[in-house]
Amino acid sequence: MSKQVKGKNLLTTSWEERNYSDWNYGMYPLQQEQFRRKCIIYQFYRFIVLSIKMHKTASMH
Amino acid sequence: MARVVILGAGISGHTAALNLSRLLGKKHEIVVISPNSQYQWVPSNVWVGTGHMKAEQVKFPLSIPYKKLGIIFKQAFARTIHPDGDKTTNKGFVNIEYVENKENEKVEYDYLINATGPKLNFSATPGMGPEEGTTYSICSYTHATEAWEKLQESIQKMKNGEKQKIVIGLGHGSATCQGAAIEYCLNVASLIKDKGLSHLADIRYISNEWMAGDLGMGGAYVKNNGYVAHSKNIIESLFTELGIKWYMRNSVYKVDKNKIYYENFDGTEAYMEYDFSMLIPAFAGVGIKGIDKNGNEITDGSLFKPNGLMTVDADYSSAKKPYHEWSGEDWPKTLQNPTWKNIFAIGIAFAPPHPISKPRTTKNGRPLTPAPPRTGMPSAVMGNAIANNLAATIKAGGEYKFPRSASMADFASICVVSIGYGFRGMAGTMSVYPTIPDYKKYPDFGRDLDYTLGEPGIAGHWFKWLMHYAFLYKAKANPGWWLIPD
Repeated sequence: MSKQVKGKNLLTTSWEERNYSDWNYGMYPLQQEQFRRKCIIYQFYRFIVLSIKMHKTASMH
Repeated sequence: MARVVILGAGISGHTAALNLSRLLGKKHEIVVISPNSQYQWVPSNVWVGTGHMKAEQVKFPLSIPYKKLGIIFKQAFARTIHPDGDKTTNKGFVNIEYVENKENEKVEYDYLINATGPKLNFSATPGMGPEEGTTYSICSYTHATEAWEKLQESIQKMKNGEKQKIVIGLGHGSATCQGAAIEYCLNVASLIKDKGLSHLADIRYISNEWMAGDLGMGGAYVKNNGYVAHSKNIIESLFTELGIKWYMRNSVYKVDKNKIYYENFDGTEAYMEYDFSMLIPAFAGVGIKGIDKNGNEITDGSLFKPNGLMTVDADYSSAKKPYHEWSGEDWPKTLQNPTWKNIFAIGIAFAPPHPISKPRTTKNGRPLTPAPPRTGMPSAVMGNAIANNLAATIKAGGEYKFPRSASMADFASICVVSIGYGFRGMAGTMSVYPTIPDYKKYPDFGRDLDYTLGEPGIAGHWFKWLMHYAFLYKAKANPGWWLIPD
């Protein structure tokens, strides 16, 4: 099995087990995405954007 | 003067009561009947179940807003509905039984809104539930408090170096509220990770969904970094990051002291051992009966369906159509009972025409049919729509008016699966429009991608945290409450 570097510490299930299960991940955040999710400045910007979007969505009736 | 009687003071009933009071003023009478004198903001029960909040923080006495708005409250169980009255009166009434002294009273109505919510049908899965079984629930603040007490025992054992098996999910093949189960699972995993005990916890999510991210609404497609991706990816990503294993397409049919028995779609029967388990039960009607003028029970389905949920203006014959022919047109638009026009049902209380996710059964015939989610935001939107429609009707002198659609095919739903508590945390934020996919209008993905989104990040967590305080502020009918969206 090739060595996976990024994010490996969080992948707790071995390939041997995953191979015979549903646990083949469709999406997994790499370091850049993990940083973006926790970056206060970017997330504050997303909070504003999401609040506006949610307000517009909630008004769709 | 018209009298509107509302059965239930949950999210849908309470929203309807507040909006009716605002729209009609004190010229008309609004009566709320509920066995619980407390309002609870159910979405925050997740935080009660992980010890981040006390039950007192998610509930308050209903008398606070009702005194302000002049709403009459009766703490009682509704036992029977008499839509044509009885031998002494032609006016419809509800027979109620007070919680305190068990006395009965006939409460006459001009308009009736059934917003009773669900009966938590733990008995559908033998051995399950906090009362007679050994699993826990977060469906109410008392259940969530008990779940936290038990979870603490497991955490203490892990601190002592003992491995613990934690199973969270859906306790029946027809259960719904997958979002709440996922949120609790992620919160428990996050809590254990924060305590540095992940290596001692085997955390599993078991569900009747066909795939992760189905959420009882057939999943959703969202725009994501230049792709249109299924919600499966977001949920699986969050599970992976917190080391949770997911077991989908399983119909749980029995629970004992330390095992959960289930059958997979392919017919494999298996069990899962657990030390702590939170399983959401199937929902059913609360058991109110319809009685005709002669005192006989109405059993022809005109008032209640066999599952105890109320008949409304849905196209129930559509359930016989093939899955690909189901559409938003099948769903009720007015939530009005077709026989007794002055009766409405909102939230969990109305009988949906069919599920949203594709219904399946296991090889041995057990259900794998997630029921359509009608809690949280959809409940509140329905409550507000019915309040607007009834207010317009009453103002028009009784001629039925429907300025607002109450169809789940016409409004959006927002679900924030939040992980952690306070300023720190993470969330998967999701909105879908329309709630019921419409493949005629949106042939590619069933929903409008401009209003359907899914995004992991802290921003959604802050949003959920803010919602807790905003919605409790609104529910207390504090100044400007109606400016806060449903």
